[in-house]
Amino acid sequence: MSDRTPGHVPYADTPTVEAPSTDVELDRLWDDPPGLWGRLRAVQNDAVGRRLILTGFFFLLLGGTVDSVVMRLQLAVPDNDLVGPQLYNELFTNHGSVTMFLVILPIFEGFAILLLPLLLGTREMPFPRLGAFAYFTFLLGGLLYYSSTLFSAVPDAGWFGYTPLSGPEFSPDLALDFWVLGLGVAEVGAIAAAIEIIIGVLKMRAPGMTLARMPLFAWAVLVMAFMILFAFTPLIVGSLLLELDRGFDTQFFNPGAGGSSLLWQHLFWIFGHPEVYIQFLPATGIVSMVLPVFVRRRIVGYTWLVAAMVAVGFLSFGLWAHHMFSVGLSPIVLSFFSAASMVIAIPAGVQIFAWLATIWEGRPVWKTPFLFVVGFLALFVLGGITGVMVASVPFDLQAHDSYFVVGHLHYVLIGGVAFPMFAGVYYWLPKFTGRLLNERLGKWNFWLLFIGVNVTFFPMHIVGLMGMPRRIYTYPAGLGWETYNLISTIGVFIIVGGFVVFVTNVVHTHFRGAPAGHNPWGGDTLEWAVSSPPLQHSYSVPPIVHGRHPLWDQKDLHGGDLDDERLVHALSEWPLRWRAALITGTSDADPEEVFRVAGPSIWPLVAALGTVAIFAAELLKLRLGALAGALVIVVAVIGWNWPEDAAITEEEELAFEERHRIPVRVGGSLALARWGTGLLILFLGIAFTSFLLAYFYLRLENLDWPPPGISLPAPGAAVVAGALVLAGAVSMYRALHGIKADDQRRLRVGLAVAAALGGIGVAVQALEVTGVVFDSQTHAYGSIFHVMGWFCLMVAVAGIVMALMTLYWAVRGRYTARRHVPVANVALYWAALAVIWVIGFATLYLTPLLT
Amino acid sequence: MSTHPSLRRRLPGWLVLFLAGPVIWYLTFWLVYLVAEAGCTTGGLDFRLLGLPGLSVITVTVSVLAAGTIAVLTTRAYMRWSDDPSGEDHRRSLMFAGFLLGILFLIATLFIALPALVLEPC
Repeated sequence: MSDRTPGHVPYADTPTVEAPSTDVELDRLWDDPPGLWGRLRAVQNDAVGRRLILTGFFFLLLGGTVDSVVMRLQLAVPDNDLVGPQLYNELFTNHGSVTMFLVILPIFEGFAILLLPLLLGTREMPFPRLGAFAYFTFLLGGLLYYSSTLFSAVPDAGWFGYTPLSGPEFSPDLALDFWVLGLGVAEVGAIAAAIEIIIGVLKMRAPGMTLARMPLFAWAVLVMAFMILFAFTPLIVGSLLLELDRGFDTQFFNPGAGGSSLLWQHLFWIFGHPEVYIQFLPATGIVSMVLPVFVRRRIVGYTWLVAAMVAVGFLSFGLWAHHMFSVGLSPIVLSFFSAASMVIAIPAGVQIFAWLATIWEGRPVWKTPFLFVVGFLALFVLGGITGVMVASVPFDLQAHDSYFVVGHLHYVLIGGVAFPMFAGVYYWLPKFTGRLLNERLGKWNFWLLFIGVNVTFFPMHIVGLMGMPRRIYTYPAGLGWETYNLISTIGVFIIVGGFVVFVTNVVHTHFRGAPAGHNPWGGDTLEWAVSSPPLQHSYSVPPIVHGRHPLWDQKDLHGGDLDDERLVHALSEWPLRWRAALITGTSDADPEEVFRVAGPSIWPLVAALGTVAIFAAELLKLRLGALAGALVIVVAVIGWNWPEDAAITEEEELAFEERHRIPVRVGGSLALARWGTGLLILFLGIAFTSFLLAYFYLRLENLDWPPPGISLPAPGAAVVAGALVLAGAVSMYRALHGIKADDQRRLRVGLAVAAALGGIGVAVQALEVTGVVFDSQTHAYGSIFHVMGWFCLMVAVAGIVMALMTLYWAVRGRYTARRHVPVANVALYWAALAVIWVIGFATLYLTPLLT
Repeated sequence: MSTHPSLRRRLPGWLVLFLAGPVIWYLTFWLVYLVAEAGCTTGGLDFRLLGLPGLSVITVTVSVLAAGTIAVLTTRAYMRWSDDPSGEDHRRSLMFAGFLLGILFLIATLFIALPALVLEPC
């Protein structure tokens, strides 16, 4: 039955994708290998996505549920002695750290990696091995963090790790090292997954799926992924500086030696506040997907919602100091951040009204996913309004560090994030299991959580305004706080009941769930056109999209432009020996390339083990272990990128190209490589900018720069080294132009000269930095001089290694005028490294003269 | 169709107009914040103009210039959106989003500078 009322949509008899005879063969080709060894090598997006989500839920049970129950039991009555102050400190530190780093983020990245290929009408994510690496680093980082309990050195300085409490003086044992290093590994994984998501969304959509037709969930995770890149990088830099203070006696955060404890707060909250929106945006993406399907109406204000998400992404980077209103910032700085914190209510409000208008215009079907969406709307509005309250400086000075803020943030994070997450699970799980979750249990699940959240967190606003500070392990009787705390404790058990019902529902569904069919909800997006569960490659014949709601608006999912039609059908028949996927234009989604997707590999796991080895070696103070870890990573990266047998000849490539007028890149996609290199450079640029900010912040904090007794190093050697590196970059571009003209000799000479000049430049500068008369341990000036200098040197060393690897393959005749993507990427990297080098050393050697 | 790699691609016009408002706001925000931080920490910029402290003058001037630039680009986004009803849908839609973003960040830029007119900055 179809409803053709204007504005309303059909919700039955939606089309399905074609199922050609090659379905089975392609499914086998794309399947990950069996057995334990096969699982360790698995790279398919469904394996990576599922693992991220399940591991996130596992950490949620550990850090989100158990910790909170114990904390609430402790606070249920005054003067309670269930747990002591030390254990309580460890509990709230663990609760915040785990939920912020190891639960919500990986779950949403898992959602994205699992869902995006289906939603976008493609077969895979762009870099499956990077996805696998992201998962393993996240898992190993989480385990490294949690292994602190085995050593009785549990972190206890809060999820924000403020210095000087987290510094070497007040936290001398290993606890904070576990916190910095374990979560540091997980942060590397978060950035890796973000790169995967950005390029997947921008370059791997079905033909016809322009940016303006993209599902709103894809928009949401695209903005989220860019935010991860911009937010997590400063945190990694901050964590590095903190660990250097702790393990190498630098003075970044020691005000007694020219450092600044506020520098840590800035670096942390430049990450910390966007982190809230990094979690919130994908949740809004889920709401925008689920809501229209359950009110049988197209979403109102699609473009407004896109603009709102982009606005939230940008504005969230101008709010960080509202966590620092009470540290003594100047009035004008307070006003900047207060105003920005209020402005963000505008795009958030636009989203709320667009959703309300969609419900108003539609005809709601009160299934469990929709209940969670409605619950989200109610709870998030409450959390958002209290957010605007704490954006006001005078109010925040009263409410700061009180239970009011605890109530506010839990309304935002549980109401605004966890509820959409549950909506998403109830909505999409049937697609991957082929079975529907039980509706009756779902409704119990919802109501227990909805009531539990309000019973737990609403009283916290009141008790906070009555003066109860957060992070206290107990309180005396007679302050009027008892009843509110007891109610909150009762509430948390109602929430636990909700979780138990949810787990029961999932288990029940596994054994007795009703068959889902391909489109149980009457959904409008492409994932509902494939079988439940989908084939390994999702689409034998990739779809062609003509609108925002392909299943509601199209009868044929593979019809359209004749060239595109021929191409998508050809892809179901060729190639059947290697995993092929389509690259499309960034905005117009016109087919650009057919490329070979990377297959199963053990190297992502090896690279992740190398990464965690570096961090673990620092934890155990086995510095040679870090070197071993770095070597493991180098070997893994070489193995990871080792060219595979092309499987077809250039003639075969050309034949397909001529027939379909599209390049075939069996050696790797040019577009993806360009985007990957661009994002790597962006990552380095953000890290470098974070160092520059640290440098100038420390400069401002010190009247004398360099401090008395230290003279500014002479710039002579730095100028020579800079000239050599710049000449190396020029030579690299000569090599690129050489291979474009099919001149193998120019390529090889250019690469060799670049590596040699770069190597000499690095050697000169390294001798200069190690030879300066001041060390990194006496004063923050020396600390930042040495660390920034070595950062620039490391960036250059990476460029030299790349040049040498490229030279090795050039000597073996690997590159031609048609196939030379790595050369182009390395040249781009060298351009970036030359810029970083010049700005970095000019800052160190010249800016003290200007200031 | 060329199969040769080319790294020289111009920034597409639609992207510039789509993100102009937020990017200009973001750069302005960092600029006025860093100048304020530096001015208040070092005690520099110790002058007054038309009765306003130096730091406030710089904040307001930079913000007004930024707002003007946003206004111009937002107007262009609006014209690209309204003048081309038969244009490709994705470009039109993004131009409209750019127009909305421009208005929001125009407000944000001015709103953030407003307190500088009434507050003693340091």
